[in-house]
Amino acid sequence: MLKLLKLMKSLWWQLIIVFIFVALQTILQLQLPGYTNEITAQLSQADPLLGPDMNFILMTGLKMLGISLLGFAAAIGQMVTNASLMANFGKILRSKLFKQVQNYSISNINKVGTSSLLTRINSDTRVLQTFIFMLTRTAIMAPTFMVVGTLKLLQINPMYTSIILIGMPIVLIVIVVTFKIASPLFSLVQEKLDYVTLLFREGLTGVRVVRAFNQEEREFRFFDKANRSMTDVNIKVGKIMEFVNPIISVIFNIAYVSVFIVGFMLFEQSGDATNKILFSQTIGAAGYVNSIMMSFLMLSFIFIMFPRSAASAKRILAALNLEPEIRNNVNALPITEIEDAGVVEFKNVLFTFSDNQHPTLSHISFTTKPGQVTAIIGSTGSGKSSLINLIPRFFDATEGQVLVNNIDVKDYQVNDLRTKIGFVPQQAVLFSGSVRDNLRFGKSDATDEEMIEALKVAQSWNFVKKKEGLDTMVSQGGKNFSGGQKQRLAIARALVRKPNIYIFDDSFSALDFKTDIKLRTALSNYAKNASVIIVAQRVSSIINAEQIVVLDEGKMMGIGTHAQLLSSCLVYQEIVKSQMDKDEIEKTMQIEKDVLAFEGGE
Amino acid sequence: MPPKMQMSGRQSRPKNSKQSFLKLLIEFRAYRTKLIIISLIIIAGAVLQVMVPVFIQPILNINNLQSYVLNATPLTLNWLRIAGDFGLIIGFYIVSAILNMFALLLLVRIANDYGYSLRNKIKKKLDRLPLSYFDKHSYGEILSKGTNDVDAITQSLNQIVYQTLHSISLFVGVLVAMFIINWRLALVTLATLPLSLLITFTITKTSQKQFVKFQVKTGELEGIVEENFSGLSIIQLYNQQQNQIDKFEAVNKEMTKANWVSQLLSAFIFPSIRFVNNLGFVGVSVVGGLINDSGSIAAFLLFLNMFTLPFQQLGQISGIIQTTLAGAERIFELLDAKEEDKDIPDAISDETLIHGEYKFRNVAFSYSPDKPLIENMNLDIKQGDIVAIVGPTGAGKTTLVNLVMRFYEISEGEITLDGVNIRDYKRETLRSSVGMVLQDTWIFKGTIGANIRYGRSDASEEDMILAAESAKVHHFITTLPGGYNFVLNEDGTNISQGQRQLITIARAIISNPRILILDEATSSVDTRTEYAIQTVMEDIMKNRTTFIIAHRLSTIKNAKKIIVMNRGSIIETGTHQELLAANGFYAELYNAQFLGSSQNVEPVIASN
Repeated sequence: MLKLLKLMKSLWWQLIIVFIFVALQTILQLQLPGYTNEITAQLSQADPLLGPDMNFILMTGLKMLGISLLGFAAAIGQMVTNASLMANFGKILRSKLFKQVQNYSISNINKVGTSSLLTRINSDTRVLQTFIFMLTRTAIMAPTFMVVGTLKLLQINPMYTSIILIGMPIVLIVIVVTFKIASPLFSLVQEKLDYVTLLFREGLTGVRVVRAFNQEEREFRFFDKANRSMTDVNIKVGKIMEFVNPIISVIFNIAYVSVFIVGFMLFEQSGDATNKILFSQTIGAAGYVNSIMMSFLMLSFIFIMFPRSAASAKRILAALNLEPEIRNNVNALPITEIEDAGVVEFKNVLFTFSDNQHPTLSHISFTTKPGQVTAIIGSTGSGKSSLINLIPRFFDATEGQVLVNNIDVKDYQVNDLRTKIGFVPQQAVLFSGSVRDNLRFGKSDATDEEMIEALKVAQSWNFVKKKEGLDTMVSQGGKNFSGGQKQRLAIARALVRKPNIYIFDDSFSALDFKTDIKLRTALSNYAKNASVIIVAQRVSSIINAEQIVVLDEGKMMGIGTHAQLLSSCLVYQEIVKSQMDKDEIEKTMQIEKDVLAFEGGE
Repeated sequence: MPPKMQMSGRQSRPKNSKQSFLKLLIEFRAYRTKLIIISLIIIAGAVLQVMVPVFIQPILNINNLQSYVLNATPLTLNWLRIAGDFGLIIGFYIVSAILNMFALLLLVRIANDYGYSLRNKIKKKLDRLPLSYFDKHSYGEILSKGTNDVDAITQSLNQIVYQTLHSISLFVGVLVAMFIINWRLALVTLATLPLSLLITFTITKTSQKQFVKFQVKTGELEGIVEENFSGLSIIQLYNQQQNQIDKFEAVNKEMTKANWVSQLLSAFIFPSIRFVNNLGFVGVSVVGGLINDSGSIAAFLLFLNMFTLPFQQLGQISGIIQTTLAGAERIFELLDAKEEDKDIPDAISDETLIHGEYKFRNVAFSYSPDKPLIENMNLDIKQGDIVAIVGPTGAGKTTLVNLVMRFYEISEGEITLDGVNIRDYKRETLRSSVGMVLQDTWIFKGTIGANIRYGRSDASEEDMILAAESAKVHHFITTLPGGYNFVLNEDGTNISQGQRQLITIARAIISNPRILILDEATSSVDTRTEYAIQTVMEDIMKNRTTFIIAHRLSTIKNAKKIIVMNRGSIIETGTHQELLAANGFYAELYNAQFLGSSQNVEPVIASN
């Protein structure tokens, strides 16, 4: 909790202003009972014949009015600054959280879960905001009321103070017990909310599948269960709170009444049946006891809210303190000193996921060359995607080295490293905004010409042009484009960057052959001097690759050209056979010869 | 118990809070009895609370003091009487507190149950919305309605109901009691009323807009955040963190401003009322002094607090009330959204009638009215046919599937299944007769077993393993810790895309449907595995009408009928051989993969 407050350094001056206003408001408010006291004293001491001093009463009334006005002004000031403090507190918290998540590695996100992060950034932040709003007001007001009130009481008669001394510990006990019971429940509430959010989100992302399998009932059953269980915990928490409130209020009222009883006791002790000063004193004391207990009540609210806020604070802090697994090298080389050769090299790389014992990749060694295509092929789960994910450091190699432009990827600033790479992932992810916004991901200052060129190469200018060109809006997740169109836009996004290293992770899977071929042809001209790494399923897409890396269960089973592998690598032969018949294989061999002849001729 | 309110399918959008408020009230009909009991309890509690000053007044009247004196010298007091009087007051307090507690305990349950039913209702509503709704609204925004907005209502509803009822009864009670004790002081107090009313209403009116804005911005922010968290790897790859942060900050800033202004405005109520209270305080002190009635002053000081308490409470909770109304407005917007057309009254629900013969007659469809996509499409598919649909991306292949599943409604013409318009089947029947595997795999958080059994929940352990074996994923599953009990992450992020696809294939296999749709089902599965499952797939496809959408032409060469689509219409149909012979669009498409062999075209992949 305190740690969170430390994050709010920029708000400290606001906090101080709030405190000043609160103090002012409190002091002014405390003046009023004194004046009422004077009026009642005036009445009780008044000459029975002449009646009370009218002028005095009116003057006192006027003074009270003035103080009320000042108090009002202070209260307004307090509210304005406090509301601003609260709003900004939420803003900073959300913003810090969002920024922190931007540095998360993929495994971080998977660990916490998207839904839970969503709850933390909204619901948990709101809980804390409400708490802060109350805290800032009460933190000054309540203690001031208590101290000043107690001093005044002592001044009147120490006997009255005993009421406070008895009443407060009782309230304290009630609060502590509540705290103990409610604390764990509040963490539970937020966890349950995470789960409800998760089920909600799954229902949304899987809407087609749910409907296709008629599983609405099942989905609903699960949701209902989670919803019910969250509601039950909420009801339990609510009941505890509603149980405590009246108990405190009864204690409070008994204390108030006790003031008058003490008054009667003092009256009896004084032995003077006409003692009227004592009477007015008692009414004054009642006012102060009222203030003291009221502020104690306010404090108790803070304590009651504390467990829930603490639970939320803990969740937010956990997200803020989660260390990204991929860290920047402090001694990273400045990007300007690295020659942009466009070479990727794997040196005996071994890679194991943290929660797995068997290495996903082992003994991987190969080098790409500028102007050449390196293809990676292998079965599902053979480690193709893991392999290329090591290049932009989505994960770090467990052993061995991955070198980009002859420098270990770990010696780069992560951002610098990634700007050197045009990476197109398996699942095309687009962002809401215009096509232009999406393309500028690759290069923030790209001109329209550059973007249109990239779109043309990616075979997407045709359908983009037909809509509203670069200004075509992309809805969230790119839902207004077909799978193939999304993929091509994702490719264009990488092309705009014009890097010297391209990585395509099975990025042509949603394209038909014709588009695929057109795209590749255009690409070969566009990326003449770049190293191109392609993860592919179709043999036909990689026949022309200068080198093909064949992976099986995380190991390299062969490396070479199509023709070489066809004669030497068993796994490769199987792959090819599964896709083509004899004639077709013959045809592909023919292509290779043509290519060789073509190159030889030059 | 969810309220019995039936949501009409008609489109009506509550544009203002008044309407939402009314709707909220209507929703509460289900809790009528409980609410009446609660009201009675609260009124009783308030009456008791009002009684206290009435009792205190005579005790504290200085002129009445002597009645407690038993003996003047030495001064002895009538303690029995004192104890009796004060005991009575404390008794009143306790009973009033207990009554309030009962009311609040009941209310907590109602509020949470209402929130519960509201969430369930939203969840159910989402099942009835046409898919086009999800194309238009971001996931984050819908999520925010189901979580943040419902939360806003639940957490404050008990307070709102209690405070409102309590305030009103207290107000009336105090008014009566005041006039009984001292009508002159009562008039002084009453004079503050118009001021209180004026302040409360003016402020509430202006701040409502800001509260709505705040909730709207919250939804917007959630949209951005959801999108960002889901696509984080891309963002990092392109170093777009800063841009995303800027985008986020822009909304965050607006949200903060709405938050501040709304809180600020409603926060004005409290000190303003307090000020009015102080005015009354001064007035009562002065007038009470003038008429020399100190007992009444003491009582009125308590009364004054109670008299302005309703407004103070209103001030305190006005922020909450307005957040709630803003939330309600957004929720009702969702609940009132137009639903899918209902199944016709006597829709066919007998699945055994379905064999899989499709006819498309002059079908027209488009996602948005101004951009026609499919026009005048005619198609005949016989029972057991394997139909492959090929064509360039964006040709409308997936759209065709969407229509077969009745995810979208066609605008013209008709689609019949076994001679019956698909609209005459119950949706459930139509869809359960179709097994569908999509390119975008969907995996939920849960065990692998549960994910496979999703296709048929009553499937036995053996069936499940058999399906996994057929989909060639059994071996992989057994290598995982826990095997079929291995828990998949949200979105299935702890296995590869290819493995996810195999699991969804197993899911379709287990459901044993009459009709099969494979929309790029194996696009991320490597060809060796695909080859291995091919024979199984052929088995599965036997006697089943099957639609295959695939780019790998090798997977569709054996199809009985190949439909070639381009720009929303069918341009060629026939078998692989026929289409090659025709030397049209398909032949061009097919030969493209061997480009460079016979024709003397530039090699496909870069080499200079």
